[in-house]
Amino acid sequence: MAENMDDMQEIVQDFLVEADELLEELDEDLVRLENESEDEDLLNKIFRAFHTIKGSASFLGFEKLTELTHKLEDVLNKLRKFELKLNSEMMDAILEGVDKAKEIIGLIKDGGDPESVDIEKNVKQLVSFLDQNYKPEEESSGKTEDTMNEDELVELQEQEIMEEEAEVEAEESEKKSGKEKPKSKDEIEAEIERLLKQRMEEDKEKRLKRKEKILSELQKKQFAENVKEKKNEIKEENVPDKKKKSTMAKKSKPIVEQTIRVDVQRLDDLMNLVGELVLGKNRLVSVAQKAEEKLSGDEVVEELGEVANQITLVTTDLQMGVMKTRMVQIGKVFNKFPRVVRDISRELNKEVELIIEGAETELDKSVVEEINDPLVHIVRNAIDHGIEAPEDRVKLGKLSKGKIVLSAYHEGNYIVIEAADDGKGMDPEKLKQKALEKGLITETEARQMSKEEAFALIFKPGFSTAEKVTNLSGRGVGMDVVKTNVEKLNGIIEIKSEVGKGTKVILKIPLTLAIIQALLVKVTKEYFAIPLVSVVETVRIIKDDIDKVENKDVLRLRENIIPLVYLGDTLGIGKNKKTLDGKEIYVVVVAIAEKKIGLIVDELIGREEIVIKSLGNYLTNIKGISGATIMGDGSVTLILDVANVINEASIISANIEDHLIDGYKKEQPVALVASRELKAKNDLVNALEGKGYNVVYAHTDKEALDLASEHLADIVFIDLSIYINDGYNLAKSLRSMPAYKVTPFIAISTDGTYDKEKLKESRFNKLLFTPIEKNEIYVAIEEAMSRNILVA
Amino acid sequence: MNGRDVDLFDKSLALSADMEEEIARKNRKADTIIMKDEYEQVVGFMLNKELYGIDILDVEEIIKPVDYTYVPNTKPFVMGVINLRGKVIPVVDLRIRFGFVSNPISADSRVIIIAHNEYNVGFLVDKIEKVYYIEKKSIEPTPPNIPQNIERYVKGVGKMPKKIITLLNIEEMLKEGGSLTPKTGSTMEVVKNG
Repeated sequence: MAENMDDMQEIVQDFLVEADELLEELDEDLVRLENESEDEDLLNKIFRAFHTIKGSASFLGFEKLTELTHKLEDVLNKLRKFELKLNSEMMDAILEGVDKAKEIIGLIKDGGDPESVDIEKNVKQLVSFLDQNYKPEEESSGKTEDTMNEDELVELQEQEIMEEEAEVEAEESEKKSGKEKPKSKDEIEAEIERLLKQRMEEDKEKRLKRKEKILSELQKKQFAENVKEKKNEIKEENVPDKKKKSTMAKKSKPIVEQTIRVDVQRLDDLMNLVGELVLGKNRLVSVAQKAEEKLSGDEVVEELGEVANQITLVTTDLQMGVMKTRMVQIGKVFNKFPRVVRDISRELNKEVELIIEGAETELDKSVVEEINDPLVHIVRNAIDHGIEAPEDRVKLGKLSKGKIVLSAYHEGNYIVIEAADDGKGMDPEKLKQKALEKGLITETEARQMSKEEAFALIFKPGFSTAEKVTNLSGRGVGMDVVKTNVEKLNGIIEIKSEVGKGTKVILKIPLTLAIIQALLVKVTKEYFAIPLVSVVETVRIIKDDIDKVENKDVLRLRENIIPLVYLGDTLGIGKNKKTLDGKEIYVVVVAIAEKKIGLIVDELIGREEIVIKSLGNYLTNIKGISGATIMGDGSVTLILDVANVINEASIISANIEDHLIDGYKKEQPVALVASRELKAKNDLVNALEGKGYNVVYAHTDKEALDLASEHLADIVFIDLSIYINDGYNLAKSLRSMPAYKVTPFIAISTDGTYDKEKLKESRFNKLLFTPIEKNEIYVAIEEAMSRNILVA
Repeated sequence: MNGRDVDLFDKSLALSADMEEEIARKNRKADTIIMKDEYEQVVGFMLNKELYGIDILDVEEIIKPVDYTYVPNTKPFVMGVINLRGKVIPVVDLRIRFGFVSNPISADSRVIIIAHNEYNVGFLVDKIEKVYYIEKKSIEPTPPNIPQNIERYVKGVGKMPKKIITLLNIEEMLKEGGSLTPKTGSTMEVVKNG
């Protein structure tokens, strides 16, 4: 029994997947049908889709769905036999039917009651097409639909009633669904409906017979017309038409593909494992490099290098392979748009043609899911605010039909999605005016704003340029959603617009979310990974390149003015840190959605492939940090949340010059002592203070690095055995700071051991052993100082 | 999960002296079988010269302090995050957490990796003592002389023949999290500045 249930569950699942696919295709096909209503192959395909869903639904006992698709199937059947001619009212009803079917499928999926959907009105409407058109085929030729004369209707009804009456009883006991339907007020109507439903279930011969009757008795004229039309078509478009049909046929009958369905969870797990492997590979590569540095020329080391290279290649391929299995075509999203465009343009009484390009471009499944909503908003906006009303367009000398082009293509590790319209475009001045009125920006801000920045105003919450608020857009939330969603994907939005010519919205989104390219930077003593998708460029400047606008630092970069901020300040770790050399300042220009700023960092480390890891439940929602990754050497590096950093940057009051080492004045010389041994520390402090030094003391390397950037010591004493990493590494880190390139470093060995090579490498000037005599210290200082001069 | 892996410690610690004493005592009295249920196994550690205990089922492992990465915008007691075999784990300086003066990391310093529900956190402590078997009967509610800032994280005090051990309530300690802007904070920021 339980097994049966499982089997059943499986069948239902299969059905849902199939129905989803069919319904999705239907949307696309139906909109196409509106323009190519004579396309028999297309009609057949749609008919088959409804038929398939109906079959499965009835087998599984989804009564409403069966009834609905049955009616749709009937209408399509008539259409494909050219007994009916498609008009927009009919199309609306069919599309509504598809929507209802989707709603029912959705309910089945979510465990809701699929029979709770109200389909009565829709079914009635669908039935009415069948009903009217049994006799007056003239409707299908495009004349008004309610010209059916009463006699005909009555006759038809009577005829039906007579025909079906005998079956009613049997039917009633069989079909309980009839009872579930809400009772109609009009008894006769209800009767007719039930009868009609029954009639639909009869085989097609009857219909054909009736059709013949109708045709011969009432519709000779129409028939003649039809024939004429057909003939014309054949004459005029014989060759192209056939061609068209053959391509259609190809489309509707896909080659049997060798595919299997795979649970997405499994792919996610696989992707995680690949992530781990990438980390392992990074580590292997770094070990191999280290080995090479240490023991270059050794045979084993060379072999290790080869293995590392090979593993790198295989890992990259494997990663690409797994990524590809998760890829879906963006067409999956794009294909919904003919329907969206059709609905919106009809509602707004605009004429819009949608052109889709690059639907076969692939991107990660998780990204596809997130991209749909923003695109809908963008397209809505384009139709609502961009494309002018047909009569206005004609006046302007444009085609009355507006055009929207949705396109997608790959660019490196990103997918670029563009939505372009040929509407009225956006006027930056008007946008600024609007934003001013709404109090979103100040006068000065408006004046300094570039064209691009003005366009970006539409993403501000509460901004709407439409004079009247329609139910589609203009509530001032839509574009805000676009921004939020795109930011979530680490994407960039760009807008190009020209008054009178149109607007183009460009989205640039990373292909995958799990493994990304990042730029590693160092600021204060910390390293951070900036997702490369957010990085526009990196530039090296000097302090004189920094301009001021309203006491905020900015950089003039070609045409643009970019706000500058010290990365440490945006993260709250920059206070009192002096790490910048005015002759050499590194700026990472980052952009998220429509915002762009320059982040000043101490060092650019390089580019690396990183695997995004969460910080876990204990550290949720850390400001400025979106996650972490593990580097080749096993250390953890945090990934910047660029969107948050950019937001934070706008409220920072600190200036860049606070972080420059140039021109920093202190009253007395400073000595930094980094030691974990209290005895050594005390000896040093006593001796140094006696010499007039201001002594700052650190007992870990991390503390020492912080103090070093805050105080700019003139001499540094380092305990070689200091926690957490040793003194050699501390010295190396200090040497990389601009303020400590030539500062005298004195090493202290508390256990009598030392590594000569490492001392040299970290450029220590002197070595002392504990216990230290006062005089020893003074001599060491002298020597270190003088050597320092030599080095300089 | 692997918290019961007593091999992490000195083998002789697996059965503590107290425990042995206890067993001997019981054996003398009668042939009673010691029921495991009657005892709580805790990892004992020193912090600010006092003995604390964490339920051994919450302890995943104990490691020596390793290099950590500082995380901005976290509470002062969050030292940073470490890499534990590919997993990113936050480390809390328990001294600062309890309001004591921070001590430099020494040769005795250890990080206790806690695995509790969905949480993975490391606690930096001064020194690991050993695994104690505390008779459940002997656990008493928190006495009033425990400082207020620690009181809420204490679930009881275990009395042993020679000393007492303060048992920590891990659930309570992890609940607050280490972020300065948990959950809603940053979205509000965005609204303000956006």
